[in-house]
Amino acid sequence: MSVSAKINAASAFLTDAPPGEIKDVYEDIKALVEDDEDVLDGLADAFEKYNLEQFVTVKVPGSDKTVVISRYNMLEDGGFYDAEVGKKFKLDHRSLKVSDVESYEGSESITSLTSEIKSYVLEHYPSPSSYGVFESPDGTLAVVIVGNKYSPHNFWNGRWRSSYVVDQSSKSITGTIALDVHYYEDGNVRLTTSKPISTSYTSTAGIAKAIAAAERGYQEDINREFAGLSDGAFKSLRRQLPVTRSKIEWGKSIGAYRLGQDIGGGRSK
Amino acid sequence: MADPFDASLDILRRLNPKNTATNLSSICSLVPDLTEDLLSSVDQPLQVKVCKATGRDYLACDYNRDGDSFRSPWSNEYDPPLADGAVPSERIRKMEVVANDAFDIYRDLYYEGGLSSVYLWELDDGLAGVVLLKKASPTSGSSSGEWDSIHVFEVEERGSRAAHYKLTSTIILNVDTSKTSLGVFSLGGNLTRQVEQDAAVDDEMSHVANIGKMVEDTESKMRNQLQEVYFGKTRDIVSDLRSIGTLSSIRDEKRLQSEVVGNLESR
Repeated sequence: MSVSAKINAASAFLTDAPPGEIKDVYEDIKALVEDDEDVLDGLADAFEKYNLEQFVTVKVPGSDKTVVISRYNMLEDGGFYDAEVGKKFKLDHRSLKVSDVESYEGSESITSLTSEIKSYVLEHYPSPSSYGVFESPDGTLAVVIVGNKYSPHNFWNGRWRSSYVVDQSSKSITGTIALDVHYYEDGNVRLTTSKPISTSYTSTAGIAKAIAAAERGYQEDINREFAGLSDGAFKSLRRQLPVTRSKIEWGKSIGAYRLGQDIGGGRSK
Repeated sequence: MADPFDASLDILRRLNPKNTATNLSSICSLVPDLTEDLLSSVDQPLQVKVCKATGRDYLACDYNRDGDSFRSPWSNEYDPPLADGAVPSERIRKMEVVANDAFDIYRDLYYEGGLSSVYLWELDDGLAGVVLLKKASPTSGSSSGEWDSIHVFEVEERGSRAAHYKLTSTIILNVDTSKTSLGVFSLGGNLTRQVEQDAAVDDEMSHVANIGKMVEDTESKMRNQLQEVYFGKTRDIVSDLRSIGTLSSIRDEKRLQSEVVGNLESR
């Protein structure tokens, strides 16, 4: 296998890593490629892709709030900024080490939206969660929200991600909500969801409210779906007990079940 | 540095179970020496094959594979045909026929459809085998489900009247829904459980009944665990990520509750 084929295979593993488990996946990759530096050095793009897509959060010196990493707050030089924190910085995508921290001043026009998103996130996302409001050169605003909960000792981890582009001229909001939940005690169960969101608002004060309403609606839909699948698709796979309501009499007479069916007029389905 | 085989199992336990087949083949390309060991240790959804001799469907997995051929439990023949394909001894094959018949009844009673296959092979001090069951939910509405059971067992004969049974059961369950109002919703994976027990043996066919009871009990328990993990635990984790109610009102409620408790206690 060529080095580039190995890099491709390992990159696919990294970008498929469950919430909070990218380090474990990276350790496994190291063992699989026997610490081949050429392969490991080739994973920089995969780490960057993962961080941007998964809204990884980083601590920046001098701020309590963690900064969300996304394509919306990426600078031309590859660095990132957060106007609320008032900092811009460089990021090593593999180690998540922050460097070259400098002050950053954003426009005041997003201050009120930022504080509305902040109070919404604080009311609905238990920590550690984070958010960011970013202004694009084309005048659109981006809102990014991420909620993580890692419980590796109980073998589960989860992430809620949502991102929206707010078009102030048409007063429309388009975005995506995505869920990723991993449960792995004596098994490997994964929930992945993704829902496109399209909504609108009338005044700037309504942007956070519109986002809150869309997220609440989606979560209620998801909860209904869990119940629906449990009663529907799941129930139709395997019965809890046979129609006879008792466990099977195993042994030589087991053929009697078949005999019974014949008398009853064939298989009932 | 971790052992590559252990690392393979660890990474497959972490990455999306829906991509197990692709990820497994990537690992085998990265570390070709592990291929045989991984194929026999990693459970994947069962393939359906048609028995050329009887026309009946059967399930294929690593346990009835020899090279690129699979053995049918109905005809005992390999497809594509093999001149020297491994087949069970006459004694084991007799038991295999009885087991296939018994689990076909089990399948009908619990699954009301689907497909089952049982394969047995000899061990030095007993026998081993695998019970396979597969069922896809009828496509009704927007949701669909797929269930694959893989029960691998070992029978250690202890004298002529008793045996020790070891069962490793894996159930692969995938449920999907394709409502446009919900977007993409994919829930899938597998759970594995191990059970051991001793049981009395009257004659050779007792093994089929003993294994039958173990599989029935284990599968029933696992069905409940799957329901709990897929539709209970997973939903709870989503609620841990985002709270539908406001966190301040939840905190207020908790404070109120503890005040009420405190008042009651101080009375």
